[in-house]
Amino acid sequence: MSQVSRVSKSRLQRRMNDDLTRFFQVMGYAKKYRWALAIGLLLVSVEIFFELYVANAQKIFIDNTNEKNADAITQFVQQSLLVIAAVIVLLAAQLMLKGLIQQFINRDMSVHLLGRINALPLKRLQSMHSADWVSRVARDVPESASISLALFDLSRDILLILFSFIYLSSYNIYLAAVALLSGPLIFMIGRLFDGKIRTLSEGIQKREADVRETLQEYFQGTAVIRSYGLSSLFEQEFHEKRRLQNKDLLKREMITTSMYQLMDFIINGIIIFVIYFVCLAVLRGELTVGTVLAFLYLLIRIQVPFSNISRTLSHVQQGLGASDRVQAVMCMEEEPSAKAMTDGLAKPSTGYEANREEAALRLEDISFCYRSGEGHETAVLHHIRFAIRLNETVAIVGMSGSGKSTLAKICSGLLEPDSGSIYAHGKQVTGRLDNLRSTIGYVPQSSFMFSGSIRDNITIGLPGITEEQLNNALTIAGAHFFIDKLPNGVETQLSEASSKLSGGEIQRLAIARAVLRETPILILDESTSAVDNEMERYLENSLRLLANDRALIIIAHRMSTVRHADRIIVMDQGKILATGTHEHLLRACELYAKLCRNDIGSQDDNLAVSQQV
Amino acid sequence: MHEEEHRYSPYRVIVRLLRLGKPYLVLYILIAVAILVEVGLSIAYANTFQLIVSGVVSDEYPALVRSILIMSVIVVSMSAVFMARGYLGARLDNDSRLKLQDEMLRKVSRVRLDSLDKLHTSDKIARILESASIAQAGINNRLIGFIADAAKVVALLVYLSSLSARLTAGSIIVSALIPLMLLPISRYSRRWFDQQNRLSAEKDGIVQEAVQGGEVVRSYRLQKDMNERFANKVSEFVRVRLRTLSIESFTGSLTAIVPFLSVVYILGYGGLLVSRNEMEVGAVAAFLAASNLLTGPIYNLFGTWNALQWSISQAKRVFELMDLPEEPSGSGVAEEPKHDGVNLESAGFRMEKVVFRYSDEDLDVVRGVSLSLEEGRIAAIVGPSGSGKSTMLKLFMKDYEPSSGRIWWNGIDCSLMDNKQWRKKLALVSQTPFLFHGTVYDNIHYGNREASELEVIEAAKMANIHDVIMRLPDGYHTRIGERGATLSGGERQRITIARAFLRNPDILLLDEPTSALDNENQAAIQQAINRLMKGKTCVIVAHRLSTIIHADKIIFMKDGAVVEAGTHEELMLLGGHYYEMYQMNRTNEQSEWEVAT
Repeated sequence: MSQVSRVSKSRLQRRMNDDLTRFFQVMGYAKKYRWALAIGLLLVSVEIFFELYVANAQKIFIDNTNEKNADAITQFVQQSLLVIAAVIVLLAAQLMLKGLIQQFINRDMSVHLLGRINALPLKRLQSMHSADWVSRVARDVPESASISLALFDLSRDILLILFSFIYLSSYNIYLAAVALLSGPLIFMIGRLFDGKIRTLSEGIQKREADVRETLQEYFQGTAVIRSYGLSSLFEQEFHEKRRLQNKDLLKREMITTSMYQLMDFIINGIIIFVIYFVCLAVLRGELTVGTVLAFLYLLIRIQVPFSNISRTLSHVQQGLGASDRVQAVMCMEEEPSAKAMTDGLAKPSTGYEANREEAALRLEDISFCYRSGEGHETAVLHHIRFAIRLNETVAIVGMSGSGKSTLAKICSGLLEPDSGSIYAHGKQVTGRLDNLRSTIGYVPQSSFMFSGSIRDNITIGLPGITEEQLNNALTIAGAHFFIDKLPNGVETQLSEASSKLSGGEIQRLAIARAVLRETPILILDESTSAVDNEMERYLENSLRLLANDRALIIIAHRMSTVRHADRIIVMDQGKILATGTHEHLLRACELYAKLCRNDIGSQDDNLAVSQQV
Repeated sequence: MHEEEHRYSPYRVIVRLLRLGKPYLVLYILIAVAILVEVGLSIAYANTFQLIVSGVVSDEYPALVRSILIMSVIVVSMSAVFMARGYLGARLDNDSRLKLQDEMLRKVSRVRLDSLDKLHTSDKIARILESASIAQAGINNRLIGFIADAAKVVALLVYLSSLSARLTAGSIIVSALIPLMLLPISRYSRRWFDQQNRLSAEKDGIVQEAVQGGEVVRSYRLQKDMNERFANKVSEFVRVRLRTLSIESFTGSLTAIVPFLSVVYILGYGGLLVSRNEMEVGAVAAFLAASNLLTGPIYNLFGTWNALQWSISQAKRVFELMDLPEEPSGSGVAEEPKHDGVNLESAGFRMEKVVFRYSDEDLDVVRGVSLSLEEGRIAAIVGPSGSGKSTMLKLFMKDYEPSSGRIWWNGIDCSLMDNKQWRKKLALVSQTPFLFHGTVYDNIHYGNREASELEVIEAAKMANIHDVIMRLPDGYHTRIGERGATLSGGERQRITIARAFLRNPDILLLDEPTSALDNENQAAIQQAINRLMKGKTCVIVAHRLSTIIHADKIIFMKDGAVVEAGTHEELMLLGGHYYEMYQMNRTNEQSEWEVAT
């Protein structure tokens, strides 16, 4: 509290400006629904009308019963029933519109947010746990969208204040002014808590993502957790994170409750204070008793909306806390290429003509380094130069950590190099990594399968694929062998865990997915590491066929795969150590010879150790 | 399907939901009392106005001061009660929710893996985070409201019937009628809530996949597809949400207006009575004032069922998770006897006519496998892909239960052994290493949580990964990203081997990397695995000839059955499947050998 009171006025003002900007940012999503919004806000007047009608009803009744006017009462009852019927419908319509707008904002904002997330560079995406991203879309967006409700509540309360003030000033303009002045006081008290509520809310949403992270790890790692008996560890972690979140939730609850109480306290204090002096005036004969009653009634009427406004605004703060987490993503820099796609403009054309004269892919002076969360930089690639033509197969070999996979990811446009240029079919790729991707099929060691059928997973993003094309791709990848055995064939649903398919089978599906795209350049990064020997031979054959009219980059360890390459690149510590054919390198490159020996040698080693066992 | 519907009929769900509320009954009553005190205080507050007016009218200054003092006391105590209720309510919701969630997680740890895998991660998370919260908060609020409302109704009924029995009966009927008329809506609202909950989890699932499959999304430019997929799902969600919203809006509007209906009734009928001189105007006014307090609670009481539908729908999702079939955990009584040479024959593994099929399929994946392996020996399972080799490992892990048949270890039926005890003896090194988000150290340490730092480092050294770790920016305390994203495949593999070292199991299950990841890794991993195998009973799904040849027993599987078993020499003499496979692989490896020389 003392901290809060020290906040200078200008800072308070600035914060309120900031809040307003953010508020309008959220409400910007309502622009499309401005008619619904306008009608909804108009219908707020129904609520006000009804409230005035109820207040009036008693007076009418007392007047008529005193005159024993039974007819008037019957008439009044009939009228009231009509009013009730109409108000029920109109009020329902208002509530419906209010919810409708909230849901539409929720929908549009979450679709927009996922679009932004999908447009982020891979590096950025992988800098945060997926649970955090999910939580922002699934939990923070709805919380932010709830801000729109405030608009309705605020307009109702402001209208109420207006009506009450007009009513009150017809009695006594001075008293009305006193009542009105207490309003801003109540309002300002609420604002003292804003910053705290917002920070707490942001923290609570952050913890929500944290809890989700634990659960996601727990569910996706269930098999390992079971085998190592780690369940209780994760249960404790969940409990602890949740407990911390509960602590903040309780804190926020107590802060808002205290705020409300403080406001009620002040309202009541003013009422009691005013009553005392008004009654003194009555005792002195300056006012009549009737005026006192009417005044009290209206005083309460005018202050309740003020306190409601204050409450509404503290709810808005909760939404703002969540929207901070949404906006943080919205402000992240997208990949330059992706803008067109998220804006729903034309699908970017590849812009590349396969050009026989030029190298299919050329890297000039490419350097790249990884930055860890703590800010450590690790240089991975140093001034790489390399080119590949159509009809050529290039293999990349090297020790673990030599930068092969990073190079493959740069070639396929997944990572952006820190310096240097990439040319695809003779044209420089400047920033538009997605253009590069359109010309390349990239198959990593473990490729992601979406939940859905095998067919959907392979044809995803390619409308109008014929059965023949699909079967052809599956055959090239050798996936038809196991798919044919499945009862539902290509319609087999892959569950999230894909537990019924082996690693090798998933790798083959990934290859089929890439082959189907018929890209002029194909990059395989250890993408057959989990298939068995027989299948590996089958795939080597397929690759030879694929190499026709394509540029093929293969990262593999099996010498039988590597040696067929037209060229082999040996990498060491982020640099290209040597380039040449298998025979040439065996003689000329010591590291390559060693790698070959290692490959075979490990079998020897294996033999020796196995014998000891 | 019918059985399922019956099991989660709203009445059964509500009974179980009530059980969730039972432990907090005392708190419910306490909070309800606080609510009643608040009501009492606000009535007293209104009455002091009366006191003041009469004080002013009769020109008494002391009465005015006294009333002002009373008012102040009431205001202060109202705040105190309000704060207390806020605190209790928040504590109740937080604690009860956490307890339910803890319980769900504990339950999940016992659920059969294949049942659990049928639910998408996002669905399971939604059940724990959302469904549990809403179900528990729903029952908390409803029960508190029920207690408080019931108390109000009882108290007011006595007072109001003394004023006018006819008016009382009438206003009860008026305010109870509409919620009763709305009861049939509950069928629809429940169905729509069910859909809404399911769709909500599904849309989260799309986001999760778009992020976890971020690499594929980018390299195949699937952004548009993912965005559309998500937009469609969200639109579907919103469509259903609008249905539930229309019900909520309608009932919300009724809740706001209906109290006035009873006012109209009282005024109309009361006015009639007055005009017939059957009642005093003052009595009608007094009745009107108090009836405001009656109609709300009556409306709520009769509307309880409809208001509970949202919680019932969510509670159903909680109970569905809680009701998933558990792993048969064994009694835990059967402890492995310290075999002292008496029954050495039964030492080791034995499988007896083991059959396995997935619960939702009628195709046997493992078909009547019988085999035995002595303690300390190595068995290599070989065969074409899809022959059920990996399923065998899952059966040993007790991840899957045999549909029929038995597995024995040292003469004890495995199904009788406690799962945790049993898994303590095992370590699995799989082809697809799974790493957790966290540090390298944690990931190894999970192997044996009692192990010291030195032991962790020792295990890493044995797994040939220590040097790699030391080169990482923060050594063992480097955070490795989701699924170990910052490490190479071979490095991830070696970390899981280090984890297995730390566990030091009796039995090692190994899904041999068919072809390790790169040349250097291959040697390093093979060396680590060989060290790990030393002195242990090993079951290996094997691909490398060198591993296979030197196994004590080779088991050749085809289409879920063991077709050949024996040593390398025996099977070569047999000249069957194994012989064929060996010849083919040998020429292959031979050719690699030639390449290098």
